[in-house]
Amino acid sequence: MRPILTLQDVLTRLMFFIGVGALAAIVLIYAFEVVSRYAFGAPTLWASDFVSFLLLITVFSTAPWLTREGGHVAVTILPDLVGRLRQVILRAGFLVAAATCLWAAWLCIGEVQHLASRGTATLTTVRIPKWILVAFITYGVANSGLYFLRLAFGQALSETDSQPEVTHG
Amino acid sequence: MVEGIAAVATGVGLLLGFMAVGLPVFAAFLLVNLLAVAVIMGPMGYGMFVNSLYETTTTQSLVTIPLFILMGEILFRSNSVEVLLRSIDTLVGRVKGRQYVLSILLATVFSTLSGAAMGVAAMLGRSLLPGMVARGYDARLSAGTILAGASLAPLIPPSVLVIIIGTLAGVSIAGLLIAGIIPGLMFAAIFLGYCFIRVWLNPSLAPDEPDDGTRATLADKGWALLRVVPFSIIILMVMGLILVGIATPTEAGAMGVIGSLIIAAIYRNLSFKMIGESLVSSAKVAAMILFIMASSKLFSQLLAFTGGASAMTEWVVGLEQSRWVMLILLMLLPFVLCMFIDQIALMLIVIPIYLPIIEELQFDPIWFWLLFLVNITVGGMTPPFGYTLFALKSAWEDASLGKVFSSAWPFVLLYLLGMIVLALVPGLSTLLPSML
Repeated sequence: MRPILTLQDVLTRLMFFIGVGALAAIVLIYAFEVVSRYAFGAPTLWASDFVSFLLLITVFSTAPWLTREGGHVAVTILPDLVGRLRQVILRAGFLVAAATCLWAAWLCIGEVQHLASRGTATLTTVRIPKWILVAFITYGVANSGLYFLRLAFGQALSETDSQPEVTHG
Repeated sequence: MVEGIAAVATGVGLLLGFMAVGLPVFAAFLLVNLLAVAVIMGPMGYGMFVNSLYETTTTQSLVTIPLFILMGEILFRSNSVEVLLRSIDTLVGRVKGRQYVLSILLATVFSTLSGAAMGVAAMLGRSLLPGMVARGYDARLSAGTILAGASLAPLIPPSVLVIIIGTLAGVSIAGLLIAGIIPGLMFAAIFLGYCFIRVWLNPSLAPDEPDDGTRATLADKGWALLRVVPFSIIILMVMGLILVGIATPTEAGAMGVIGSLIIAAIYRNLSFKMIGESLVSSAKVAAMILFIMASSKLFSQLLAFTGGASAMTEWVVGLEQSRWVMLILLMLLPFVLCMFIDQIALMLIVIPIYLPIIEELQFDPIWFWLLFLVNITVGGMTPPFGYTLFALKSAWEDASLGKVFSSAWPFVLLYLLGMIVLALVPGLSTLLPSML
């Protein structure tokens, strides 16, 4: 089992860095667009489309790594109040989250097949096959689901696991 | 099929229930939406579900979120904050109660850049607060200034919460961003004024600072001002580009990132390592926020589909109360809920329900959503459940929870006072956006 889990970690890390790279690309493309538009009066036709594709890639390539690190926001007031049962409730929550993500992944797989068979393209100026982007969504929810399974059946959770993260300014 | 107000109650009830048992917020939204689609639409709705995830994460305006976060990360890691800290310290001078001033300003700057009121409250509670108490400053007032300053962040651009509200409510993001400037300054002035009045009434709250012979000269102050010029340029660059109408908030965000890299270079802290760390951290925070938003998108569509949103509007409008009573009622719900649940989750639940209501009541959208923003901010620091309070308590080990609560109350009341002023004088929030 361990080699499979290690392989999952390696793949997730690789995808995480693809997500980080996509974020860097967003900055570069938009900076290029602003300079191109306002300094040279030559706006691009592709920048905004690619930036929105890259945003999707950033989110869903990064999400499983976030799940692995327990980085998703959760409100743990009730589990924290019940003390001894905290572990049980949190693990049950992870199990439900896993089932939810895998259910969503199942629907996404169906949608990828549907889009690919119909040859549907994105409704953007620069059109690309939509199934490619939905495949990233599928990866994000499916792999998050698998990590929730690992959290549900993994080692004991520390007191700080799944604490609410941050408020946003 | 569950319809109307029952649909809203069922959906919101299930969401809050799932969240209360510790389910990650995004998973709670996903689960409720999946269940609703399966029950209401069946397999016909599955494509709609997948499309809701796709649509949110390819929304242009939301690209601003990772860009603003990245800008803050770079500034935070590039020593700019330290430069700012030293400059503010010099500029504040030896005014009576100067540590309170420093505390408010630092908490505001830190939380604006990091976007994490809880993190800043914990950090300053561990670093700044013990020093203030040791010097003889009043512990409650000191802690209160940290809480108040840290909670001010969502109002001050660049604000991620504003992007989310603007996108969900269909309000001009540029308008909402700059609408926060005057109220933000007003709140800072109220807090400073409060501290000065308290110190004036009771001088023992602020001991005389020992004169260690390092009194800042005019030249020192000049240098301090000069040192923060690059830092100010970035803020002015982002807001200026939006105000003048040269760039959209998204483009301004990208230029802000480039600007923050230039500032890091000016302060001699630009490195691939720093850029890499900033990107990694920003990608995580952005993914966390946007995954929740994507998961919740269908919730608002289902509210409309089941007639829940329109039924709620009819019911609320049918109460036939005055606009002011309605405003208070509409503010009360998020104020209470925000003590228990995450700000973003709260917005994703409440905004789709409120949208048709405020349209029917003909409230100015910028004015209303700005009040809403202040409201959910205060909820985070209001006893007994505000998250920021617990963050401060974890750092301030000597204090009881009761002491933390009592330090927060005066500032909660000041926030409420400020909200009343904002409600009565809409121009404070609508003046700048009207210039766009």
